[in-house]
Amino acid sequence: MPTQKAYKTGSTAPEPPAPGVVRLISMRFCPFAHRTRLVLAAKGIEYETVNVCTKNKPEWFFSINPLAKVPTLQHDGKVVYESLVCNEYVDRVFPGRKLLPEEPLEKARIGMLQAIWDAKRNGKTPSRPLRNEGLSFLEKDLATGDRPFFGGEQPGLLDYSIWPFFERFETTLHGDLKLPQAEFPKVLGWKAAMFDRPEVKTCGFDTATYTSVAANYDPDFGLAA
Amino acid sequence: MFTIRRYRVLGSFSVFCRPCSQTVAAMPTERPMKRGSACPPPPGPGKLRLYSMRFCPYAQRTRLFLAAKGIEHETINIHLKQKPKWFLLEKNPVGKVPVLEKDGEMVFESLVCNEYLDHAYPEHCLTPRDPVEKMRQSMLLSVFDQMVMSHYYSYLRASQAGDYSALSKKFGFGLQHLEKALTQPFFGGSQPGALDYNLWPWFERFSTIPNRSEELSERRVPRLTAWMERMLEQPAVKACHMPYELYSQFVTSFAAGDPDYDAGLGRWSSL
Repeated sequence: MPTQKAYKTGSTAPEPPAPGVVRLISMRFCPFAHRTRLVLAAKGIEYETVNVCTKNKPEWFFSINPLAKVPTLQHDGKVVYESLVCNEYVDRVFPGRKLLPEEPLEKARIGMLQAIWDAKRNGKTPSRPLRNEGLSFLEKDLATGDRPFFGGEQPGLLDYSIWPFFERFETTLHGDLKLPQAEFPKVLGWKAAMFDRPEVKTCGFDTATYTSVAANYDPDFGLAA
Repeated sequence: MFTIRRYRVLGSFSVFCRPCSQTVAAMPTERPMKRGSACPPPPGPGKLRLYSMRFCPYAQRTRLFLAAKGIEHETINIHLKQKPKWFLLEKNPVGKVPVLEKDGEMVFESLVCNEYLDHAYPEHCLTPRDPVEKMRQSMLLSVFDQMVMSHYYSYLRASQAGDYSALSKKFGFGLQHLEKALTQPFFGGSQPGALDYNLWPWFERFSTIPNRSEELSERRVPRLTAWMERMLEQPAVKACHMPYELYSQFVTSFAAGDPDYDAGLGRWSSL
C-alpha cells in the first residue's frame, strides 16, 4: 500500500481528488483514522491517501475540515469527517457487505456499546480498572450473542471502531497488564480472530512501531527518507 | 413488608442487568429518585418510560423528540449526584440520562435514543433518510459539540461575570459555522428536524441568558437569532421549555457542588 510523507504546516495544498476518486486525509498511526481505513478495506473500496502531520497541521486542512482532524474523506465534492460519521456514510453509500445492522434495537445496541467503551477505555493512558470494566461489557455481549464478532459472523462497524485501540493495547499488554484468559475468554478469542482478518493485517502496524511512535511522535516513522 | 418479585429483563441488555429483587408501588413524580430508593416496577407492556433529569440538556433532546413526535410516555427523574444503585445495574451502566425503557429493553445515549425513536415510531420522522443529508447534520452537530458546547460552562461563568474576553475563539467560530449552514428556516428544512432538536437545549439556555456575548448577537448571527425565535414558537419546544431563572438557579447550585434538582417544584408538589 503506497504511503506518503505527512503534509505539515506551511505546505502547499494537494490538488483536489479527481471526480469519482475517494480521498482519505489521514495520519498513519492515528487510531481514529485507522477505524475508517479498516472500513474502507473491509468494503473493498479503492481510495487514495493524503497524510497530514496532526501536531503541525497544514493550514489548507482547516479550509477542508474546520476541525482539521483525521480521518477526513473527500468524494465528489463532498467532505466527511468524524470517524464514526465517515464509517456510517461509507457503509450506507457504497455497495458491498453491510457493516451496520438494519434492525433498530440492534443498531441501538451498537451505539450503546460504543458509548460504554468510549466512557471506560480512557484514550491516552489506559486506566486498568476502568478499561477492564469496559472490557467486561464487551465480554458479556459476545457471550450472550454467541457471536465471534460484535457484527455477527463477520466484523461490523463496532469491531472496526474498537479494534485500533486493541491493536495499540498490545504495547502495554505485558506482565500484569495482560488480559487474563479466565476473565476475558471471548474478548481474547475475538482479538485472535480479528488479527486473522485480511483487512486488519493490511491496515495494521507491529507493536514495535506503535511503541516507538507513542514515545516519539513521528507521522513518517518507517518511511524511507 | 415488600413483595419480592423477579422481573425478567429481556433483550440484549439483560446481560448488564440483574432482575429487581424488591419493588414498591412507585408513583411517578418529578422529584428525582436517589440512592437508597427501591427500583420502580417496570412500565406496563408496550408502555414507554423515560429516565431523565429536569435540567439535563441531553435528556431534553429526547424529551423534544418525544414531544415533536407525539409519543406518549412516563418520566422518572434521576438524582445524578446520588444515583440509585438500580439505575446503574438495571438501566444504564454508564449512569447517564436520558434512558428509554420499553418491554424490558433499555436504550441510552441521547442521539442513539432519538434515532431509535424514529425507527420504532416512524410517523413524523425527524432523522434525515438521505445518508448524505444525515452525514451533513451529524458533522454540524460535531462541530457544535467540539467548539461551542464544550465551552458552555465557560460561557455561563463569563456571562455571570459580565466579561467574555477569556472565552475561547472556537465558540464564535463554531457559531459562525452553524450560521453559514443555516440556509433554510430550520436545519431540517421548512420544519424542524433532528438537528434542530439536538441543538436546541443549548440554544434555549443561550437565548435566555441576559447580556449575551457579541458572538451570539443578532449582528453576528442573524440567521441563528431568527431561528431561535422560530424554535421558541414550536409546540415541542414550548412543551419542554424551562425559564432562565430556573436554569440560573440550577446552574448556580450545580457550580456550588450541590445541584438543586428540585428547583421550581412547589413545596408540596408530588407531580
